[in-house]
Amino acid sequence: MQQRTIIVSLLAAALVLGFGTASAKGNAAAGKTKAAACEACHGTDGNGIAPNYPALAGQYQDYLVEVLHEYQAGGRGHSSPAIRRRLNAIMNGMAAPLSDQDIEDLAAYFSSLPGKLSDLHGKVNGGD
Amino acid sequence: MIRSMLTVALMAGFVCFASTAFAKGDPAKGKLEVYSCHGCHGIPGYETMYPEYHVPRIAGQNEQYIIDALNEYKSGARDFPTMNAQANSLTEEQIENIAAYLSSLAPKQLQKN
Repeated sequence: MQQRTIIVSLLAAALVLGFGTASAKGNAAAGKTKAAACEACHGTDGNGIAPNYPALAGQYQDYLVEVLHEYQAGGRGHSSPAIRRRLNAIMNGMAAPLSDQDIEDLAAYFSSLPGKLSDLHGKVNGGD
Repeated sequence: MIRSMLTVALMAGFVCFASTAFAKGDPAKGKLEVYSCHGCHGIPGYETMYPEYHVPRIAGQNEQYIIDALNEYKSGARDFPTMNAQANSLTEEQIENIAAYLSSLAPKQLQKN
């Protein structure tokens, strides 16, 4: 009985781990080889070379994926409210040539770097 | 020729000076004003309802980028209804204070998330 529970638990854990890796589609090592153009502004460490460039290092991977797609959409001139987009002269141009796989890889790479970003918990007045 | 080079150099110097002088936010006031950010940006691992992705980490982010981003939400250059509404409720001074506070949260040592 106990053995059976253990086996079921192990299987469940393996399943969760499997999904965890499957959902992270990007390859950080591949992303590193594609990051040269990004590094001109975001820095070789991904923390931005000046205060007007965002730090990407340690940012959530799926947020970076979302944003690069939004910059792509912005560059294509979509104006439909159904399509999320960001307008930015530099980033619309930078995102234009990227494939979906490039975006996944770049996001995996920058999110894996050590950085200075964190969530805001515990950092508001009187907050937790 | 030399004169025009000098003029360019002076202008560049002025631009650099102006941009430093421009970041005049008060981090102490910003700390009070980030209360409304906390609801979404303060919960580690918090995701947007739809489409699902993590709300970005903004503590420690670079100062001028925060100012630019909030102004882009104001102008509509960025689409996200919650952030469009938040940014529209902020004055330029509040935006600068928030950016000053958030950027002040960067740790001295880079860390892995």
